[in-house]
This record gives sequence, structure tokens and C-alpha cells, in this order.
Amino acid sequence: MNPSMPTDQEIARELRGALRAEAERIAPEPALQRILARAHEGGRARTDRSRAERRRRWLPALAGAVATAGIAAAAIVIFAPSDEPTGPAQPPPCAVEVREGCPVDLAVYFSRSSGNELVSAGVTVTSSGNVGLDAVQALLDAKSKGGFANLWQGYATAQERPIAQVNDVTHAGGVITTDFDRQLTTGLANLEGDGTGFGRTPLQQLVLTVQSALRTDDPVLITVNGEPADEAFGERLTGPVDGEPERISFIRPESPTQGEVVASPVAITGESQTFEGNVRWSITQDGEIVRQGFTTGGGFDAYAPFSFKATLPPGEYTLKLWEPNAASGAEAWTDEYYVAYLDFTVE
Amino acid sequence: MPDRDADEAVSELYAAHYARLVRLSFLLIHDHGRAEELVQDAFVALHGRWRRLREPHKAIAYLRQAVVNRSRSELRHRAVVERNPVQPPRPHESAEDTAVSTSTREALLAALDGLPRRQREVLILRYFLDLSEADIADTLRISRGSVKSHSSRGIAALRSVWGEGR
Repeated sequence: MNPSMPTDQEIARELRGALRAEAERIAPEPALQRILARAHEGGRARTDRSRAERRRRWLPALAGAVATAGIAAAAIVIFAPSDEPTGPAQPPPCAVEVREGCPVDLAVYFSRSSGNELVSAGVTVTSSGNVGLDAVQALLDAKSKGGFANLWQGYATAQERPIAQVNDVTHAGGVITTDFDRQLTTGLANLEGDGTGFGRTPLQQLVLTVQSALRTDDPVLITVNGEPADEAFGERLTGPVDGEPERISFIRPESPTQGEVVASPVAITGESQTFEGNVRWSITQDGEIVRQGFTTGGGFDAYAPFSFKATLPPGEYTLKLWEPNAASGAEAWTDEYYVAYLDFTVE
Repeated sequence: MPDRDADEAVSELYAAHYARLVRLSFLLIHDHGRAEELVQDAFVALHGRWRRLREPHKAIAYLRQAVVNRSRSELRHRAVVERNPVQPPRPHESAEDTAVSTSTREALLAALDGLPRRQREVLILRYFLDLSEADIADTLRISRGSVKSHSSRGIAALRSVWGEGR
């Protein structure tokens, strides 16, 4: 072949870049409610609620704990043209509160295999009734995949399995206590040795995962069979560990902050770097989506700010931000990447 | 209850695929507003067919087919009625492609628009949606051999414009 002529691979690479750049010129408007309303046209007016709509007021039965009620999750309310209810539908059994046997949506934090940042993936698990415990168990069970490394599964060691069992998680007095059945370590931590800073990453996986589940910035105390641990993953522990949200990659909400009281219209801002720049968002109240849509931040390999406003009546709300996974097959191991939850109040 | 099943399925498919399908249609017809309408039509049609869909796990394949077919119909309609396809302004420069000059990208896209319909559809499905040959064949209802053939001819045609924008 003439050396000045491009190969098929070169053409393919540049065509792919050109098509994606061209496609990113547009940002589709939210249309789900319009689609569903059209689909129901001709039917009687009603407010419907799909099976997938799971209203989740989180009232976790944390033993002896101050239960921080939060609201999570995927609820989609379909408003037909006249919106007149036809009577109460059978409520899903887990609609109002999470208890044993209920599905619960969580953000589990992984280590980026290519750096020391952390990334989250959305998972749905069956609750034990203790959402904090559910979150830690989900972390222990999460398999490494692609660029998502779970150091709690002995990542890069001969056999991946949970490195410990969690006994209990409680939240009281401004501290989340996570109790394990053994000292926390991994083969990698042993190789790296004490004081290298390696252990901060798995510690942050734990802290950010359980903080997200409980909607709190409270620090996490690690205990082993009831006794405070003085070491984990080669890191010396002197007390509860604070979260380091600045290490979170790809979708980083900035305002409102967790628990903030704000005025309407609420300005939601942050920065992101997602495929095609797409960031989905929803705002829920009492488990029902009251606002939802897309916003656009950075695409490919550059962060860019995103911002949008939501006019909301006074009340307590949960904001969820994420990137949908459009992959299929083996790549579709999670439906949602880079999930971020936070609660806020409109005064 | 079937409506609830359809609502649930359409909501989940919407969350995962709506934006990409709108962008797919936009690449095919170059009209953002119509692309959104066509894709919404496809979702509404899927909702109506949900109970009759024999293999619900293939719903995304159904949606892709519907979007490509409706986009193709849109182009035919436009060719007959307007004779002047909508031509959008060319894209602004974006950071990820700084190694490629805008003129090369524009030349590639312009050449893509000039390809025979099948070649163009195959290349967009392959290089925008990253579909496999099998999925492209399923979407366009052609054989995998035809997918290979259209793809190689399309790439060869694009090679001819390579130097023009550089």
C-alpha cells in the first residue's frame, strides 16, 4: 500500500471520532413522559405507576442508631393528560420504606485501575433492613470489571473473594461504625507495605460507599469484632476516617451539598466527564420523581461544568446523577456508571 | 398489568438508549427536531407492541431497526418533497480530536453523506454505535456478508477523500 495512504484502521478511528463529535452537537430533550403519555392516549385518564417505580424512603433499622431517613431511587410517575387518579393502585410492598427483603439502590465505589481515583457503579441489592450493612456487603461482593477495581475482593491477587465479612454497621453520634470479622488487608497492601498510602484507596471505597447509602458526611470507624482497629490495608488508624469526595471521578456534584438547605429555583452544578457528555439526573420526593432530565458536561477525556435549575416547592428531596450504560452483552454489567446521590431541602 | 410491563420496559429502554438513538437518527437525517420525533415514535410503537413482542430481550434491536427505518423514510420523504436536504452547520472543534484537522473530519462526514444508503448506514452503525457485524445485519435485515461488503466499500470510498482535508 502507498505509505501516504491511510490504513482501514486509521480511517475507522477518525470516522469514529468525527461521528461522535457530530453526534455530540445535539442534546436530546427529556421525553419519557411525552412518550408514555402518547402511548396511553385513548385510554382513560389516570396516574399510573409502573412496577419499576419503587418508592424508597430509607428508614433503615440501624440497631441503636439515629436513622437518617433518605429517599432513594428509581420512580417514574406517568402523568396521562388529565392526571385524574382512578383510585389507589396496589402499592409495591417496598414502596414506602426499605426493610428486609426490599430492593435497595446503592452506589458502590471502586478504585480506578488506572489511577488513585474512585468511581461508582449503581447496584440494586436485596436489603437486610440495614442500608449501611447492605452497602458494605455490596462492596464486599462487587467484582472487579474493566477499569473498576475492587480492592475489597483481593484485586490482582490469585483468587478474588471478599477479604473479610462484615458483622454490623451502625450510625450514631455522628459516626458510622463498620464492624468486620478480621483485620483488613490485601495481598497488594502487604506488597506495598505500611505507610505507602496505598491503603487509603480501599478505605475510601468503604467510606464513600457507606456515606452514600446513609446520605451523610459522617466519618467511618472501623472495628474488628467490636474493638477499634488500629490498622487497615497497611494504614495506621487513629479514629474514624473522613471521606475524600474530591477523589471521585467523572461526575462530581458541587452544589447543593449533602444536606444543604437551599432556595428555589435550585441551582444544581458540578463537573463531569462522561460518554458524549451526557449526565442524567432525577429529583425525587417521597420516592417519586418530581423532576428529571439530562444535562451536558464534558465528553471523552475532558471535564466540563454542568448546571441546571429546578423549581421546587419547599420540602426534602434527593438528587441523583449518573451516566446510563448504553453497552450491551458482557459490557452491560451495570446499568449506571458514576452514580451520585445527595439529599437537600428547599426552604 | 400489561401496560405496567410496557411502561417499565419502555422507561428502562429510554434511560439506557434514548439519547444514543436520537443521535443515531440525527447522524442519518441531520435534523435534530425530526430525529427526536422519530425516536419518540419508535418508543411509542414499541410500547404498543410490547405484549406481542416474542422476545422482549430483543427490544433494543427492534428500536434500532425502527429508528433506522423511520430515518430512511424521512430521507425519502424529504428527497421527494423538498429536494433540499437539511444541511446543518458543520460541527465545532472538540478537544478529543485535536489530532485530526476539522477539514479532514468535515471531508469524511461529507463523503459519508455521499455514499450509497446501505454503505452509509453500515458505517454509522459500526462506528457510532459500535455494533458488531451480526447486530448490523440484524438491524438492516441483510446478511453478514453484505455488511462486510458495504463496510469495505464504504471505507475504500472514504480513503479517496483522505488527502483532501489534510
